[in-house]
Amino acid sequence: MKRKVPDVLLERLLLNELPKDKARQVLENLKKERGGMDRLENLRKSNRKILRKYPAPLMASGIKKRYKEQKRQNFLFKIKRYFTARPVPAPAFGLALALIIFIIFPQLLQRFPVDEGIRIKGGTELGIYLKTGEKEIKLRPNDRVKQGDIVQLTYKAGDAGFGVIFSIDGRESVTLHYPASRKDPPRLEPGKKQILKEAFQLDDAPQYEHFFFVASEKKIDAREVLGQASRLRRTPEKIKTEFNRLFKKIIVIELRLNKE
Amino acid sequence: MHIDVEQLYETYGPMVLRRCRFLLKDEDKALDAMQDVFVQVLKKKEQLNGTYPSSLLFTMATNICLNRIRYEKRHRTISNETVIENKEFIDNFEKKLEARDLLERIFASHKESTRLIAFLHFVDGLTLEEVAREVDLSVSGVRKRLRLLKQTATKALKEKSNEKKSA
Repeated sequence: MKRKVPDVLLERLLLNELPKDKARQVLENLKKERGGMDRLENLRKSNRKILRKYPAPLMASGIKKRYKEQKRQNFLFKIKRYFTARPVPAPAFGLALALIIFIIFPQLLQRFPVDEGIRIKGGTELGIYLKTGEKEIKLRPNDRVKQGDIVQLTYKAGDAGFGVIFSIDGRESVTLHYPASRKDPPRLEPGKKQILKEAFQLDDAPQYEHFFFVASEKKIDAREVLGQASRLRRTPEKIKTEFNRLFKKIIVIELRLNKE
Repeated sequence: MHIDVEQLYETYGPMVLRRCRFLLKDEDKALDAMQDVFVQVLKKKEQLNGTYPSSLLFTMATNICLNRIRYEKRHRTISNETVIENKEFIDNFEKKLEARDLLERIFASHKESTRLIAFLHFVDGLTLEEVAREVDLSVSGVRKRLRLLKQTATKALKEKSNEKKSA
């Protein structure tokens, strides 16, 4: 069976960007192919349609704007990395300070409004859903659950770049839900609500299952978070207050479910 | 090197958008990816000196879209709560996860560009010679990459089947 001319070759034929020999060969194959020449004509029509729907001046302006924004972000990132990755030579210190005060700090303030000096705002969320047959029910604080229930966790990073999700049950066991391993960097995915890869089944631990989402604009270490959680596992109700004291610029979202 | 973005888009925009539509199957995502392709071109202006820019743009579009597909599969997003209530989504979740893991396992030990080579050959139907031209490798280089990929795939599938048997 003769192979169909691949789209990429068709596109290049239309753009007149194939070497002469190859162009001749592709055109011959296209003529032999059933409806081959129609494909070429359809491509021409599609070009016109796309350029009508997304006109060049409009798209070019969007592309340039995006390019400038990415360049600006890269520039800020490079400055930040330069001064955090190596010891700062004395003459550069003044410049660094000026940059931080006049450029980086105002931008950070805009991105992470400071609340009471220690917490970040901006739509960080923890979602817990109970899977029951065909439905998923969003759980609220102090909702009742039982052994065998299947629970799915979701999160929304908001303005936070890093976060750890864990739970403590009535047996004082600490379970890490995000990241997958305590060694993994707990980088959060920005934007829309994220569903954790795995749902899990509640075991027979009594009384409660207490969930925590510790989020931060700065890098945090999951091992350190879990270490402190383990230390406070007997009194999960104190974790939020204790964590806000122990870690700087974090937000702690908690949700306790009661066991039947 | 100065680039006239409007002219560049007018010439190659439709081709890039069609490629992104084909791979992403979503108009908004395709439009977004297409703009990223042109942003990449602006960043790598010097690479545009070749005789046939369409080749570079087509490869860039394929790479950007494949990366997005991979990213989305790793970090499945839900736009609203109704999605999580969708039974089909929940039922298929495990199967998709299994297939995805298998693919990830197969490609994990190979170079990033092997994914592109495999796509151009197996999905787009380009010959080894055509793929070689697209990715700027020798034909024997492309052949070797695909042979190694095939070996890994066969091994992974065997392991998968053994896992199922023993389960």
